[in-house]
Amino acid sequence: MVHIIENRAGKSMIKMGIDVGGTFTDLVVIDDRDGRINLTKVPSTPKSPDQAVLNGIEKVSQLFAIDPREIDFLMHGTTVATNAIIERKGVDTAVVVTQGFRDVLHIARQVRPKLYNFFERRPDPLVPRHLRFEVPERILHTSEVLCSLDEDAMRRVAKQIGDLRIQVVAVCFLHSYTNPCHEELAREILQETIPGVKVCISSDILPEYKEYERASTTVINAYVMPIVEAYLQRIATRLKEKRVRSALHIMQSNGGLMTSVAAGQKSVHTVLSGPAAGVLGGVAMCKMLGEDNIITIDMGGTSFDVSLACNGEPTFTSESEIDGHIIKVPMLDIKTLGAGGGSIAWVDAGGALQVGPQSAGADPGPACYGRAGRQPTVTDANLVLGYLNPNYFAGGEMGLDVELARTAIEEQIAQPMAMETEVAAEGILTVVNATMIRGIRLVSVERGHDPRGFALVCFGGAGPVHAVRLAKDLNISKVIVPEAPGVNCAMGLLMADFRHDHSRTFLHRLHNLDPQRLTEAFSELEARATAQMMQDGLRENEIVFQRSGDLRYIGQGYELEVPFPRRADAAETDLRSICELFSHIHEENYGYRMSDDAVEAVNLRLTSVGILSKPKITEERPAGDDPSSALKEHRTVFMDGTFLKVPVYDRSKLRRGNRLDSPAIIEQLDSTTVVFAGYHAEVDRYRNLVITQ
Amino acid sequence: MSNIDMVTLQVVMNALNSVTDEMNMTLVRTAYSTNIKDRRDCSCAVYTCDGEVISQSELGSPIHLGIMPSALDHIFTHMSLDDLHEGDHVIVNVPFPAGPGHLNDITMVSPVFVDGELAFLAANMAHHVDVGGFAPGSMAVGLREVFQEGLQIPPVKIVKRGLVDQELMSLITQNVRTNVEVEGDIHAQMACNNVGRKRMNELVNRYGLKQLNEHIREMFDYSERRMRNGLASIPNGTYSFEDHVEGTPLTPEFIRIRVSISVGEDEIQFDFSGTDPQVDESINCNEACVNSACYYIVKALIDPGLPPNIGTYRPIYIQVPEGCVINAQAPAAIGNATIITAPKIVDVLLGALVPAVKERAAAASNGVTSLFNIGGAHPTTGKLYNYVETYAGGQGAMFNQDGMDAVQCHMTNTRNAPVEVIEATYPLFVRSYGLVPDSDGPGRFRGGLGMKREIQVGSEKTTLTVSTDRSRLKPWGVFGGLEGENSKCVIEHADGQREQLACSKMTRPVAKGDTVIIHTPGAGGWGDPLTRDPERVLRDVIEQLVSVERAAACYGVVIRKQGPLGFEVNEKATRELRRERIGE
Repeated sequence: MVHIIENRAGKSMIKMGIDVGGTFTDLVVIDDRDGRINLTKVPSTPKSPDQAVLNGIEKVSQLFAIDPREIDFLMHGTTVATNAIIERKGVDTAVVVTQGFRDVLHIARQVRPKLYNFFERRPDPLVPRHLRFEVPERILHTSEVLCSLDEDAMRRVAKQIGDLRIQVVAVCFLHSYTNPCHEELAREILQETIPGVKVCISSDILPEYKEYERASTTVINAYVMPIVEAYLQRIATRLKEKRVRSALHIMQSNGGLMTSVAAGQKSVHTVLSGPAAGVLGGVAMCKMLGEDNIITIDMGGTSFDVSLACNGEPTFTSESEIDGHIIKVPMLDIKTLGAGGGSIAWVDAGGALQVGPQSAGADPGPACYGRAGRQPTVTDANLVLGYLNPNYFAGGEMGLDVELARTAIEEQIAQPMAMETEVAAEGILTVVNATMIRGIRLVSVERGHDPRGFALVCFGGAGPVHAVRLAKDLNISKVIVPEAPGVNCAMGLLMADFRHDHSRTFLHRLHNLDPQRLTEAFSELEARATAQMMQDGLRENEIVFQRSGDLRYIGQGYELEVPFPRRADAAETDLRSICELFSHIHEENYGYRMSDDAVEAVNLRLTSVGILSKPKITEERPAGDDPSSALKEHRTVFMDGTFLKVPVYDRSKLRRGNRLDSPAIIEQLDSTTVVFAGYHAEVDRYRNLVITQ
Repeated sequence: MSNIDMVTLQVVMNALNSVTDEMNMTLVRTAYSTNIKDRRDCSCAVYTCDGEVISQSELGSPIHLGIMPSALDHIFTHMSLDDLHEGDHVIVNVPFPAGPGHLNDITMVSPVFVDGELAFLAANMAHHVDVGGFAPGSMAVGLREVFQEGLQIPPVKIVKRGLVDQELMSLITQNVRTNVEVEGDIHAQMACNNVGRKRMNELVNRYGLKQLNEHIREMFDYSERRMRNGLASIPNGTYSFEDHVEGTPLTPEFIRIRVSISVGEDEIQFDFSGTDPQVDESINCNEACVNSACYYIVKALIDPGLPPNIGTYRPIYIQVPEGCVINAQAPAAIGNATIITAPKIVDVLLGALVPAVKERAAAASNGVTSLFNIGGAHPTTGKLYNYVETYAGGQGAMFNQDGMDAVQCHMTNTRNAPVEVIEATYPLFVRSYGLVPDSDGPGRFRGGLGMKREIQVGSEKTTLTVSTDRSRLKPWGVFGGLEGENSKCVIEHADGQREQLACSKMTRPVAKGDTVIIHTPGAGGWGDPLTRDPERVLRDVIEQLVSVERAAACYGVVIRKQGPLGFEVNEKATRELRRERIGE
C-alpha cells in the first residue's frame, strides 16, 4: 500500500519549480485548481544565484497573478555545490586521519587522467597536505579496536585546527565503516575544542569500505556544506520576507527531494541537482504517455548529456566524478560528452573531419554570432544548411550571421577537403552525431540494452535539431520533443518525490549467514532513514522502503546490485533466493555463473521514498490533423545531399492531432525541431511532438 | 586518396573504436581477479585475417600496444587460417618467438565468421595473477630460464567449435596457484571476444563486408598520413641516448640499453645497437615490448590521439639486435620484462628525443613499474593467497609544470589496492601509505615525489617478491633540472631489526611479523632549481613535501619559521644564497 502525500488539509496546491542554469533561471508553476502550467525564465545571476531566484518569483507573481504567499510547495535545482567544486571556491577544510595515512587524498587511486598526455593532471586534493592531520588510532576490518584513539593527541590537533581559524573538519579513519566509535569521539573532541565548528565524519556520510572514495566524498561534503547552507539560508530569509510559507525542497543527484536543512548537511548529494531534474522530467512525462523505456538526451552549447530509463525507472550509478574528484553516492547515471552547438569543426593531420572536443562556448561562440569566433561550429553548420532561422534564434533575441558561418565552413573545412560548403556542413553534423551516438551506445548497448526498444526524448536548445537524425542512425522509431524542451529541468522538479539513500558495508558470505544479522543491519538503516524522513516533515506511514545489496562472488573486485525482499525477519530461504537471484543476474550480465555458496555481500542499500502527488497536466482537445494554420513559410534547406523547399511551422500554433509529414522544421522560442525524411510528427494530447517512423 | 568520403570514414572509425572499447569493458566487467577488474591490466583488439591491427582499445594498457600485434604472429607460426572454425577460441602465453610480454599475459584470439566465412580476428590479452612457477605471482627474480617462470601454453584451442576443452582447462588450473581466478578470467576473455564477434557482424550487416574492408584499408592510409604529418614536425637528425637496468646477483651490475633514433622527413627509425646481451635473469624482454615502447613514445610526443592500427605503425622502423637483453631468445626468463625493462626503454627513448621535441617532452619519471607481491597460506583458511600490486612513483617535470606525485607513468596506469581491501582480503596489515618527502628531482619545475607503503605480514611460509629499479641510478632531470631520489626496500623484523635489501629486485621468504617497507623513486626536474619561484618552494615546505634544509640546499631558497602558516621566505637571504650559488 503506497501512501501518496497530498496536501493534508485536502485543498489543492500551487507548486513551483525553480532551476538555476548557467545562463537562465527557469521557473515552472502549476496550479492544481485549474491544472494550468505557467513557464518563464529570468537571466541567471551567477555571482549570487539567489538573486535570480527572487527575481523569478517576482516575475511569476506579476505575470501569472500568483501571490507568493499562496505557493504551497517550492522545489529547487541548484548548481551551487557543483560550481564550488569546479571553481575550487569551497571553504578551508581540515581533515583528520589515522596516523600513517595522511596522503590517501593526495595519491587517490594513483592513476593519471590521460594515458598519452603528460600534461593532463589529476586535480590537487581539495585539502592541502598541511591541513591533513594524523592521530594515533586503529580499527581493523573486523571492527575490533587495535589501538584506541589517543585523545590527548586528538585534542592537540583540534587546538591546532582551531588556531588556524578553520571552521570545517572532515574525519576519515580507516575501517570506520565497520565501527564509527573513534570518529564519533573525534567529533566530540573537535566540537568541545573549537566553538561552532562543523564536523563531517566519514562513517556518517558514507559508511562503505575503500578509504579513498569514502574520504573524497566526506571531504567534498565538508568543503561545500557551509556554502550550500549559507546560500539556502539567504534564500529562506528572502522567501520569508515575501511571506512564502513553503519550505524549500532541494533536488538531489539521485532525482529525489530533500529539505533545505538536509541539503545543508548532506550537500554532496546535490552536485547533479539540475541534470537530475531534467532526466526526471523526461521520465515522468513519458510515464504519462505509457512510454516506459526511454533514452533522454540534453544537448546545449557545450555538452551533451545522455541517460537511460528502463521500465519507467531511471538508471543509477553509485560512483561518479566531478572535476576528477570521486563522489560515491547514488546518482542518476548521466553520461556527459563534449558535443554541443558550440563544438568546433576542424580537419586533422590525416585529412579527416573532426568535431570537438574544443568548444567555442557562449563567448566568443560560433562564427555566426558575429563576435570574435572565427572557427566553424555545429551551430554554424545547422545555420548554413537552413535548419536554424537566422532571425528567430532564441526567439529572435539574437540575430545570426549566415555569411560568417558560411565563410568559416568554406575556408576551414570545405576547401581543405575539396567539397561543396553544404556537403561539408552536413559532414560536420554527421561527425558530431557519431560522437553523440557513441554516448547513447555507452548507456544502452554497452549496458545490455538495445536502443531500438527505446524512445528518444530530447531537450536542451540543440537537442531537437539533431534528435531525428540520431534516431535514424540508431534505428529508433520514436522521438519525443516535450512542449518546452528548454525548461525541461524546471518541469522535472515538479515530478520529484522525497528520496534518501542509505548504505553500509556488510562483508559477509550469504549462504551460511545467520539471517538475524541481515535483519538487524537493515533495521538500523531503516531507523536512520525514518529519522531523516521525519526531519523532512514526513510521517512514518508515508515512507516506502526498498532494500538491495551489492553482491559478488568471493574474490571478485566488482559488485552487482540485487534487490532484497523486505521482511521483518529475513529467513534462510530468503538468503538462498537472494543468492540464486544474484547468480541469475550475473549470468545475464556476464554470461556465466558460479556456485551460489560463493556469493558474498559487500554493501547493503536502503532507499526510502516519500511519494508526492504529481501535477495533473491538462489534456488538449483534438483539433484535426491539418497543421496549415501553424505554417510560417517555406525555406530552402540542404538535406541528405540535395536542396529542398521545406515547410516551417510555429510550434506555439500547433494543436493536438496536427500531423506533419517530412521533411519539416518546427520553430519555437527556445528550440528548433527538424523532421528528416522517413519520419512524421504528430502533436499529442499533452502538446508533445511525437515523431515516428 | 580513394573515392571513400572522409566523413563516412570518420563514422566507421568511431564504430570500430566502439567495438574494441566494448570488448575491453566486457573483459573488465566479467573478469574474476582484482588484477583485471580493478587494475585493468588487459587489452583488446580486432585484426584483419592477415593479422593487421584494425583497432585497439585505448582503455587498455600502453604496454600492450606492440604486444597485441605480435601475439598473432606467434599463433600463425603454429596454425593456419584454415585451422580456425566458427566458435573456436585460441590461447597462447609463450613469449617466443613473438607474442606476449611474459607468461602472465595469456592472450586469446578468436576467429570472427561472417556468413560462414572467416572475416576478422578478435583478440584480447589479460594479465593473470598467477601462472605457476617458482613463486606466487609468477614474476619471481633469481630465475635463469622461462621454464622456471610457470606454465607455458603454446597456441592451443581452449574452446573448439563452441565447446570448452575441459581437459585443457584442468591442465591449466592444476598448474596455477589461484585456479578459481585464472579459470574465471579465461571465461571473461571468451565473453570479451564473443562481444567482438557480435559487434563486427553488426558492422558488416550495416556496411557490407566489401565496403567495410575498403573503409578499413582507407583508415590505415589515413592513420599513416596522420603519423607522417606528425613526424614531419620533428627536426630531422639522429638522436642517441643510453640508460641502464640495475642487475641482480645473476647478472652484470648494470645492463645497458642504447638507442639511436633517426628522424627523417616523415619517418622514424629506432636502432638499439649497442644494447647489452641477454642475461640469465627474468629481466630480459622480447621485441614486442620494444615495439610497445616505441609506439607509446611516438604517440605521446607526436599526437596522443593517433589511432593504434597497422597504418599508424607503417612509418616506424625498429631494429633490435637478436640476442640482446631487449630481444632475448628462448629460453630466456622474461617475467619482469613489462615492469622493469620496458619502462627503462621508454626512459631511453624519451632521453634521446628531449633535444628534438623539447617542450613536448618531460624529465625522467620514476622509470619502473614497482612490483610488490606477497604470497602464502592464509592463517585461518589455509588457502593460498597472492597479493600483487604495482606501486606508483614520481612523474617527470615538464617545461611549464611540476610532475605529479605518486602517479602511474608512461606504459602503466593501474589503480592501487585500497588499504581497507588489502586488509579485508589478505592476512596483511598496512602500517602506513603515503608520499616520500624530499624525493623530488629539483628544478624550475620539480619532479614528482615517490611513495611509501609499509606492510606487515600475518602468515607463515610467505614469499615476497619486490621488483623495482632506480635504487642506485636516479631518474634524470633535463635542461639543468636535477635527479629525483632512489627507491629503497627495507625489511623490519618483529624484533625491530631493520635490514635494507641490497638489490632492487628480490624473491625471498619473509616471516610472520616482518614488515616490508618500500619507497618508490621520485622523478627528475626541469630547468635550474635556482630559478624556481620561491613561492612554489615555500608552498612545498608548508605542505611538508620538501624540507627547509632541502629548500636551501637544492633550490637556494631560505625559509624561516614565521607567519600564520608557520613558514615564510626570507627574501634577502634567498637572494644572497642564490647569487652565491650561481656564482659557484
